[in-house]
Amino acid sequence: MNDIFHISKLVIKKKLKVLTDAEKSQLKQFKRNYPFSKGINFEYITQRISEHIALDKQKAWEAVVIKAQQGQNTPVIPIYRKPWFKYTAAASVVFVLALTVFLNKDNNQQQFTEPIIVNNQIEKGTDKATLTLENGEQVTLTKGDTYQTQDATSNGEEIIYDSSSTSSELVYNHLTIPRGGQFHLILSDGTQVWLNSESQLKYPVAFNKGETRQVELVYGEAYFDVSPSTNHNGADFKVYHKDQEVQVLGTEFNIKAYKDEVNVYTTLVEGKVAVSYLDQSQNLNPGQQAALYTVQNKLEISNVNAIREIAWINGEFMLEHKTLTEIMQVLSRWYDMDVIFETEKLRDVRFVGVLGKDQSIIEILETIKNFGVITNYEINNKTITLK
Amino acid sequence: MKANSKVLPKSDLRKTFDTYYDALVQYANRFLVSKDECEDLIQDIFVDLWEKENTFPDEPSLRAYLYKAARNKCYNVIKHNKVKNKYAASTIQELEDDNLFLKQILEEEIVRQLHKAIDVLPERKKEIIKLSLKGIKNNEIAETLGIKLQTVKTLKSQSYKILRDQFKDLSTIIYFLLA
Repeated sequence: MNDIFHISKLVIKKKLKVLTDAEKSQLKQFKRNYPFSKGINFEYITQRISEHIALDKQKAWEAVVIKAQQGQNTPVIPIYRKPWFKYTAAASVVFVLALTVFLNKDNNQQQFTEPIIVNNQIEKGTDKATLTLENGEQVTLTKGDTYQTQDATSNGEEIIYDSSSTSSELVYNHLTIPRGGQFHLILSDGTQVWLNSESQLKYPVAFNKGETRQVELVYGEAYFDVSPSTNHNGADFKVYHKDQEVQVLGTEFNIKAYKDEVNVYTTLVEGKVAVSYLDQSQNLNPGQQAALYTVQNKLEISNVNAIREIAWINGEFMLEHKTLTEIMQVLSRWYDMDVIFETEKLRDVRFVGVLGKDQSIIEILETIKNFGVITNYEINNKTITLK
Repeated sequence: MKANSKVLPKSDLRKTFDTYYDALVQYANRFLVSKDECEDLIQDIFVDLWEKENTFPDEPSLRAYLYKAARNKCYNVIKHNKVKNKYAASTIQELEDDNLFLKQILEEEIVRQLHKAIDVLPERKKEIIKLSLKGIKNNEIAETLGIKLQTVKTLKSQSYKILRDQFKDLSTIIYFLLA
């Protein structure tokens, strides 16, 4: 059956004319072994795609959950033996039960050793930030707490600046997101900013009418959905990070400039921006990324999968051919943890995957372990050790 | 964070369900006329998975299990159906044919993956790409949809690029969450 799944991909790739030479000969071989795979009729396939009636999957899933709960006379005991189970919040038990079905291999074929977990204090991140007001006063914003100033209101998940406030002199606030945090911000001009863990943005409480709107990503990662200049008497919008300047006219883009990473990445999702650094300047088209190599003082453009770059704003980590080192760097920001590679060669293992930001660190490590990337791990307080 | 509200609660079983539910129902629908009955059968497969401690070494074995389970469920329903109609015998025969099973799964998998890939396109591009996949020429597509030939060409090449990008690197990819 594995072959069949493989053939299905090859057939599609052939139809789309993206088969490599190696795959071409593979497909030829497959067709010899499975003669029926020669006769794939795309008229029929397309017909079926068109007939594909979108089923109500949500309703169907709920039916599964109800049926499963009714029929659940005997609890699945072995799962409770798993040492990590007790660390899982009660609310997610239902999902863990379901998850365990797939994640835990049969004990007989279990070739991995159990992880050692001591006083696990690693928690997934939440919405939180520190707001620094113009007078230097600091306010902690956390989910569930509301906060209000003269210019802004926050429900602890986002902060919204009043669009009607004006001032002749620019007054700046800072929003600082700690490790394990994220926050959503709406500036007074209506521009939306999503801020990732370990990031800081400096911005005026209100912009001067008709003048260039300027904000500074002091460090970290932010996704901007800029309110178009046409709504602001043509005033353009600029994002600064050190010597890099991004000039925009109403668009969506992501800037990644972490303190512990040397390079700065600006990715355009929609619209048009110009990225400048010292005497260099480049225009970006949607789907393009400007990489600023600060050591070499070079600004380079490449095509990327923009959707993957910004998956973090939708609660996912999409890791595209990233090394384990890079993946752990991303994870350690969200889970606020330290990572030790006991086996050095693990650092450069590359893979692709989608992880949910709402998963516990143990779920994520179990997934990586079950794929044989690591053989085991340890958790001690806020440190994980990969083996 | 606002954008977070779009995110579904994650579990691998749920992901698997979302990925394969349509295809499995479509497969069952080849043999059983009632779509409701098909949905019921396929849901039962996931209830079984929920309850039993089944284990799968990797994603393809899980996928294979799902299709085989769907086949068995259909087979049992038809075999044990008290009211035999004239199609029952030939349907049973069809279900017993291993080669045919593989061919049908191949078709379902192509449909599933292409459907998923096409689904991200805007409506107009979807229409164009479907007609093009059927082998219909540009000028006929333009005529059918009542748009300019040049527009068809542009939209078509953009759509193909999006599709190609989705399949290009697939062979080297390990999918974590059984996606």
